[in-house]
Amino acid sequence: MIHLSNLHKTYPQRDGTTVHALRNINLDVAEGEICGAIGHSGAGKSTLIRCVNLLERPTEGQVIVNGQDLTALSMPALRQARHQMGMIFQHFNLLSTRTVFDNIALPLELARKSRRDIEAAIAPLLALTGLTEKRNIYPAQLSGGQKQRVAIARALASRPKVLLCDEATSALDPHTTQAILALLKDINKEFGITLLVITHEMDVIKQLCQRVAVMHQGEIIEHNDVLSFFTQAKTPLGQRFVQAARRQELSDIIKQRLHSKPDQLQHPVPLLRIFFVGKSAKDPVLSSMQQQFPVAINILQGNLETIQDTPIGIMVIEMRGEEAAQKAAIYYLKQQQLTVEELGYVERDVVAAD
Amino acid sequence: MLNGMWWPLTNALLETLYMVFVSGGLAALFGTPIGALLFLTRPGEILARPRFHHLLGWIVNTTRSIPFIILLVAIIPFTRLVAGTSIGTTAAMVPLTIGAIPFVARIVENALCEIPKGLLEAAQSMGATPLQITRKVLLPEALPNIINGLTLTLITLVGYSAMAGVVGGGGLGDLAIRYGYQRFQGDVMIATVVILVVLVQIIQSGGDLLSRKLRKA
Ligand SMILES: Nc1ncnc2c1ncn2[C@@H]1O[C@H](COP(=O)(O)OP(=O)(O)O)[C@@H](O)[C@H]1O
Ligand SMILES: [Mg+2]
Repeated sequence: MIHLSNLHKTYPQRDGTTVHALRNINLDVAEGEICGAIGHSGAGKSTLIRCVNLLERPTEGQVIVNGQDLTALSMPALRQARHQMGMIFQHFNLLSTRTVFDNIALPLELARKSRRDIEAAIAPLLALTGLTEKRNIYPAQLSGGQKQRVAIARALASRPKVLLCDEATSALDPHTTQAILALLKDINKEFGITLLVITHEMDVIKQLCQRVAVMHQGEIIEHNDVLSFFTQAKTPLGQRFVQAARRQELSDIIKQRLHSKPDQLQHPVPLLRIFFVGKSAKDPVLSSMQQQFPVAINILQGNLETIQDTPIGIMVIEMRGEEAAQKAAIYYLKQQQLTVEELGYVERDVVAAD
Repeated sequence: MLNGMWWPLTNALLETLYMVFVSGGLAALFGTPIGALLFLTRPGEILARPRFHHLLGWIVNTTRSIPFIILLVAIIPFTRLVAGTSIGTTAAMVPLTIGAIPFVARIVENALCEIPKGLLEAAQSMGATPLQITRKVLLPEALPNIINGLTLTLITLVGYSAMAGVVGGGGLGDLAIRYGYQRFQGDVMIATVVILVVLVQIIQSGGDLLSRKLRKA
């Protein structure tokens, strides 16, 4: 549905230098998919999403949406194409002098729809976003979450195929964020709308997206699907985002005892983090491993996360036994489709008492 | 007091109101599109035309910097062309309007500058044309501020209209000079001043009220 190829965007500066806001961006978002782009502030996320509806014209490269090369369109044709793309923003961008209803009606007025058609189109949107009671209220009297709901209804009014979300929850508190993410997810399910979501919050990726692109200094440095991103991100930056989002980090006591190499320890015991995803969470993998290999495990931490409605068990264990047996056991775990992260080594008897 | 002056005073007030509100209205009519054009053609805005913007800005500034009393006399040939005469209340409205147009244009431009850029982006993302953006987003959102500016314009026009006597425009200022100053009728002078003060107060309060009503925040 969205196809970006070899996208570059540079901004000439007053002092003669140029800022490379985007470098060689390639991104495909399939119809009905929810794709996220995550990156720190200044990574080029906003520039990227603004290139999709050509609010920003890329210096180089192609932007194809719904089979149309937008960069080749005349201005009137581009405006027409924009009716098929909704966009929501961090700061909502509602008109303060229009009521909720009239804000949502704006795109339809722009498309010169009759008052009757507008009324018919907006009633279900008000119901969908839970704003029916608020239809004649002005934005100043709404909470942040309600304002974003109005913005979402407005973006959907022209029945777009694509919804672009630029930090749509970054100005909201965590509770409201959850509600808005749930709404976006429902919208995707119900209408099959393709979503491109940019954010600096891992929670948004975790809850909403199926695929993720990691951005750094204008480049996409990692493409991944969200489940494997969460269990085995490919880039250090990706791993840092994932770590920051894990509810349960390694406890400080374990962190202090953790060594990267076994050499400094008298009785090194490997510390592993194991991810049980979906089906593998149900099989008794650990106990069958202990039956097959002469190793003993000790669970130090464990918790459950839900990503994309899939439960992921995360366990931190130490594995005792002869080195060869340890190696074989780890190999066995990996063969069972588990993601095993070798965190390092701890001294035996220190972390857990025998 | 004010023996036999009630009718001339009423008449002068009506002339002042006529001059102020009609030329104010005309100035708003012509000044608003000029102000919008000034804004839209700014560098970085949706119709960025820096050269045109600077030229238009220069014309506006030049017109604004001409003292009104000089403008009044200097454009007499133009006034005759438009109003068919260069004397009288209607004729006085030509220089009043011309003097107020650049004032309104700058007020509108400034009011548009204060609209958050995000609103323009949102409208653009919906496929709005520049004209639609101006009519449906920019002007309505800026209206409360524009009303404040127009209030100021009307009050300035009350002052300017006092000079309209120069071209036989009549009005309160003219009355004050002819009776109060030239015929030493102090009571007429005081009466015109009181009426002017009350008029300005009413315009100011009315403008504030309207602006507040339009501001939905
Ligand atoms: N209009 C502009 N002119 C110059 N530089 C810009 C402009 N817009 C963005 N940039 C630069 O491009 C980079 C990426 O910006 P942006 O896309 O807003 O990042 P993000 O949304 O990830 O925080 C930043 O270094 C920013 O300073
Ligand atoms: Mg941004």
